[in-house]
Amino acid sequence: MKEQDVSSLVPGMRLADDIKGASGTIILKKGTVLNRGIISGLVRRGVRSVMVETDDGSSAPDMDTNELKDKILEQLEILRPIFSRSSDLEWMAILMKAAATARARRS
Amino acid sequence: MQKSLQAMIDSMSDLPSMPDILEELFRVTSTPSCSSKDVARVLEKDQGLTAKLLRVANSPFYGLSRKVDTVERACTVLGLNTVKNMALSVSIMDVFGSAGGRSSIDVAEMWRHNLGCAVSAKAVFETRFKGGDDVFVGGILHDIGKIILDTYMQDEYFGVMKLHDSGVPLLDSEIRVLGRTHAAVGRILARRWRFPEKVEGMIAFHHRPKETKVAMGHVAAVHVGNEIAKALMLGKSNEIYVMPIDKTCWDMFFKNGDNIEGLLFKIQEEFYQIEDAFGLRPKNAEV
Repeated sequence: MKEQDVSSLVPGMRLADDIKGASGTIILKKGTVLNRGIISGLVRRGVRSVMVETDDGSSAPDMDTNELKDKILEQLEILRPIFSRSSDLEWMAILMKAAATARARRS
Repeated sequence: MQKSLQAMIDSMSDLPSMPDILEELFRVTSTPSCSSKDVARVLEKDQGLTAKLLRVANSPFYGLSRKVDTVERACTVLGLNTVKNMALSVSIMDVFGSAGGRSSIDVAEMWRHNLGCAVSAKAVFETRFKGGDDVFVGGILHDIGKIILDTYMQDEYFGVMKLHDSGVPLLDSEIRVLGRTHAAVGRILARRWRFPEKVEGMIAFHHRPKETKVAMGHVAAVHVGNEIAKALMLGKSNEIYVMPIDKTCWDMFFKNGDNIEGLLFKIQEEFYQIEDAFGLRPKNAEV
């Protein structure tokens, strides 16, 4: 089990703890497998981080991470030509990488 | 041969006039005693606009726990300024969304880009300031000049796009063919329709943020949001390239090495939540 920033959640991860709303009511139960809609809901509610399972294999985080890395590389290939006028600037290269990661998480 | 600015304005004499309902809305909301009821009374005269407004207000983007079913309720829950800005966005998309027989741009994708810029600019602005609703409108309208050019000066704009397709950045192409940019043309509409000064500033200076004398944070946010929307490929601006963001503007929002990846992910999710409400999701898109 580890604490994960909401912005780095990927579909398929499993909650290791209940998530409670401001009033204390449970909004998502421990064991829920995250999908895009659930992750969007957490972002919208302003939840910053959640506990996810890591070591029982059910959410296969290593596989997700490797898959994500491949997808980020794919997205970088797509973005490089449209960044050809700007990516030599340090901050634009940061933007390109961040955009590739955001797009990879959704794909 | 390039047209003078006056000739250009003259050739746009058939530019639509500001919808009466917006005129009335601006008038009503400029009085200090304006209430939710006053705004509702104006907007509910137009049932189509009301239906669209409520669809946007009830989209997951605004995260309301209960559905709102009247404009008055939307004003109470979301605030007058939010609803006013929402009405301005929806109304202008109505006026310009289906005009003209276009050859040089894909107008549906252009509006998706404008929405992507709006969502991005608001999120960027709110990392540092409060009240991103004005910035959202600025994002929706920032490229209105392109849509006007494509509708009212089709031949000339076709020439611009042809030059751009050969690898010349869009702004340079516009200057070479027309002698001015879409931002300057957008400003003509902003003045004619008496948009708030901040909105005019965001339209006129989103490519030259250092030159503005008004609403610098707003203009900077639209300048940054425009490139973020292109980087995330939210809709299609007819500019092929992600152009350099002014360093001062970038530093205004991201100087402390904040979580840029997280912010971009949030923007992307918000965009896909709200595009449906604006009726902009492409028909063949995955659900």
